Amino acid sequence: MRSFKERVAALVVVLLVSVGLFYIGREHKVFLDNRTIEVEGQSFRALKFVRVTVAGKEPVELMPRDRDLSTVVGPSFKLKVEVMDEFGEDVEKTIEKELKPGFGKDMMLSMPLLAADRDDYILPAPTVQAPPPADDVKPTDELAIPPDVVAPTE
Amino acid sequence: MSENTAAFQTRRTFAQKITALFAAHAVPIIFIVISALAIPISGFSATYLIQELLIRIGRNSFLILSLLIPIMAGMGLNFGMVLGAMAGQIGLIFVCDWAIVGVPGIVLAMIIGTPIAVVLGLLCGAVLNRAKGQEMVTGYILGFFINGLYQLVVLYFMGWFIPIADTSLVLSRGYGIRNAISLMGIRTVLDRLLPLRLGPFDIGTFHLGYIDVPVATYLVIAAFCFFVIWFRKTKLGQDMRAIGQDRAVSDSAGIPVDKTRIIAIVISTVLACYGQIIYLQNMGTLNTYNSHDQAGMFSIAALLIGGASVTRASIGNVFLGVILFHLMFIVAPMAGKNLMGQAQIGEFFRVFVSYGIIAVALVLHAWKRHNAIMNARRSLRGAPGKKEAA
Amino acid sequence: MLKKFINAAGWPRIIIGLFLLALFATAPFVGVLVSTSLSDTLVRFGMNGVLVLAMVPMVQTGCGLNFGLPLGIISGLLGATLSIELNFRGMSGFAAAILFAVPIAVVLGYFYGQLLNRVKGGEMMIATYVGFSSVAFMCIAWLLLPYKSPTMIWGYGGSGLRTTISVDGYWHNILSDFLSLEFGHLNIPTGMFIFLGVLCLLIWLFMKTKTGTAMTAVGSNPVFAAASGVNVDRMRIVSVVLSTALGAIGILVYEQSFGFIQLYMGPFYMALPAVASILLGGASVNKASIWNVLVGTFLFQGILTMTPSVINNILQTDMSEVIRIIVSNGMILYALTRKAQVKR
Repeated sequence: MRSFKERVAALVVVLLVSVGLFYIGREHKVFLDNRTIEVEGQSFRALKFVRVTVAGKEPVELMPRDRDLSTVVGPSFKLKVEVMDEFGEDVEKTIEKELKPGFGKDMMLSMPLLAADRDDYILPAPTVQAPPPADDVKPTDELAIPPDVVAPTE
Repeated sequence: MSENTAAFQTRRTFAQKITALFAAHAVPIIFIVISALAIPISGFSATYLIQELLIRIGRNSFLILSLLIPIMAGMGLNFGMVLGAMAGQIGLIFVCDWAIVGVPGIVLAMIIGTPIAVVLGLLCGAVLNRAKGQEMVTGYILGFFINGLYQLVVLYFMGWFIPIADTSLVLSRGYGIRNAISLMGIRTVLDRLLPLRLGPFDIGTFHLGYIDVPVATYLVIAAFCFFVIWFRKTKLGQDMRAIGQDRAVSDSAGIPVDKTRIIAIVISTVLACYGQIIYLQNMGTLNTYNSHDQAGMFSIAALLIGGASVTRASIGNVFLGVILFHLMFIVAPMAGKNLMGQAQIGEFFRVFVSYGIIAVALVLHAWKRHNAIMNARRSLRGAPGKKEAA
Repeated sequence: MLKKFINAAGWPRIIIGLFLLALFATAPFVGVLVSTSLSDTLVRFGMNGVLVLAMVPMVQTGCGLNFGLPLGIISGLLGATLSIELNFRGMSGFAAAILFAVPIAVVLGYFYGQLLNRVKGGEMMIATYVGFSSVAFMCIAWLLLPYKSPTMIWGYGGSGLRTTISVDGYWHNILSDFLSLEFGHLNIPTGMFIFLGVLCLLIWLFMKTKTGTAMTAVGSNPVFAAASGVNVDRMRIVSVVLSTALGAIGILVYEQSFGFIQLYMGPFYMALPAVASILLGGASVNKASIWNVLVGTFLFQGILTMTPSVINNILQTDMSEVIRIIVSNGMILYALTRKAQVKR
């Protein structure tokens, strides 16, 4: 049998690998918010037209009051925000950032704050999401009589 | 005259050989015949069938392979494999809650499932050691018992004192996991890790469209096959085979019988845990409260259809079984519909066959054992003497 | 004295019995009516009693726990549907159902017994799967059999028999309402108890006959029984036939109280509660008595009735199903592992 030390070492390695997997495999929801926001008594107006590229994916275009959702995987991702004129033709300003959600989960990014070059553009993600589907659970019970024909399906 | 007898004897042995061959492989032969009849009736295209089969081989083989080691150790079909499947599902629930996606998610689910599977395997092994000779029925009931505990944990404890952050997994009452969980984040990630698309082929007038092969899954399965082959040759594997042959002799030869049997079950349970994770990543949906039940039934039926018995099973049986069983699974409803006008009949037919085949295999095994005992008794009563006199 | 009682009753029964007592004791404090619960328990006791009794003959001859009970249940279902098809109502309908069911059960039981004689030692697992596959086979049959009665077949758009058939207007509660007594909320289905009692008495008497004692001998020591001139295989077949026939009658008693015939996958898992009940009553894998049946059924059904109402009121959750799964399978597991221990 292996020594105690080796076992502990193996356990530690497995734990480290698990943490690593958690770190690199974590999916983050990134909400992109283009609404007028008030911070420290100051009001930042929603941008007329903004094009956001999250982690090199298909760009998302937001009009005022729009909110969109993008998902990214991994501890960090690149964000590119292009503030455009109201017709969506000329790029007025480009902001590129690298964001590090790390172990955290979801986040919301405020476009007006980003455009104003502020650092507090990361907002907490909205908690209320789509309402969960109706409860359909009934414990399976080998001992009760199944109410209906239940053929095993694959 | 002696020549004549010799010729007669060889002729007889030839005929006997054929009957013996048929008797030894009766189950796969019957299934080949059923499939051969049902495929044309179902009207499915060859491309569709091959694609479906390739998917299902990838999906199910690992689970079925996990049954091999306890058979080697003479413990019969491991009906306790559902314990491993449950462990895998608990791993998947956590991974889903933490939103770990892709291959890291699968590996992490396996890491979480492993200790649970080991503990359940130890428990299962200990229980089966107390019910020697009745391993199968005991394992079967143990599966139900642990299923009760599993439901207690998943339906009541999760979201109560086992924290579940993702509210979309939890029932609206605030605790308990939903009936069906979407595994979008890890769906087919292993299958698509090394994509390979074959075709289209034209063999004579025979047309075959594009076929996708889940290469990475197959590599994992191949690795498992090599593991089994290697394992047979290790000291532990040899011990298990010895125990499978004769428990009493192995015991007197100094093999720790009980401990080795427990190890066999633990290995099987852990592998079943991985198998269930591979199965569910392909399915893409976790039916929290019945995925594991079906895993056990289908795996055992498939293995038996492949020609395995309660005491002997090879890797070949696994693959033959998975192909034949799933061929029937795919074509039966359609054939039933086209033949009887009702798809439901085909569905019930395959349910009937799944259970029936397990019954037949168990009967054949028990029958053989019964006959062997009878013959042994008869020969003890002095039959050998008679033979010599003749 | 106490020790003797504990030994006679066995720890599992005492624990479960005390648990049940505790449930009844707490019931009034959590707003559960004891009389309603008690009458529910009694009804379920009567409903399931015969199904549990069907375990006894096979256990006694050493055929193990009758996991193949669905076979008997299927015979009962055939009897029930035939009786409705021929439009027998009331007591004659119930009698007709039994009359149709028992011969079918005898025939099926005979072949089932023949099969089990060839697989001695592996009966339980095979019984389980024979039960399952016959249920699945009958699923096809229910779709195809040419029944005509409009109460039983699907209306337009479907073919074959319905999944659940109401016996209302035929023989719903025909036994239960016979001489039934009512004390406020407490309702005693006397007729069902009389029926169960008569069957128990018959089986008890049968076990005292020459055949019956021979059967017990086969169960306790087949080699010795064979040596003393008992035809072991024949005795085993008799027990299997008897078990299957009792299973057929059992499901009819169940249905007349429940009010519905459940076809298709309905009989699928019905063996497990019966097996758990008799083991809870103190039977082992190769020894069972009428007493085990009555005690076991009462305890099992009592827990089944009381846990939902009491535990759910305390914990505010519906845990009863899970508790039932754990308790009943735990009992079976206990019995299976205990047998090996005694052997060693």
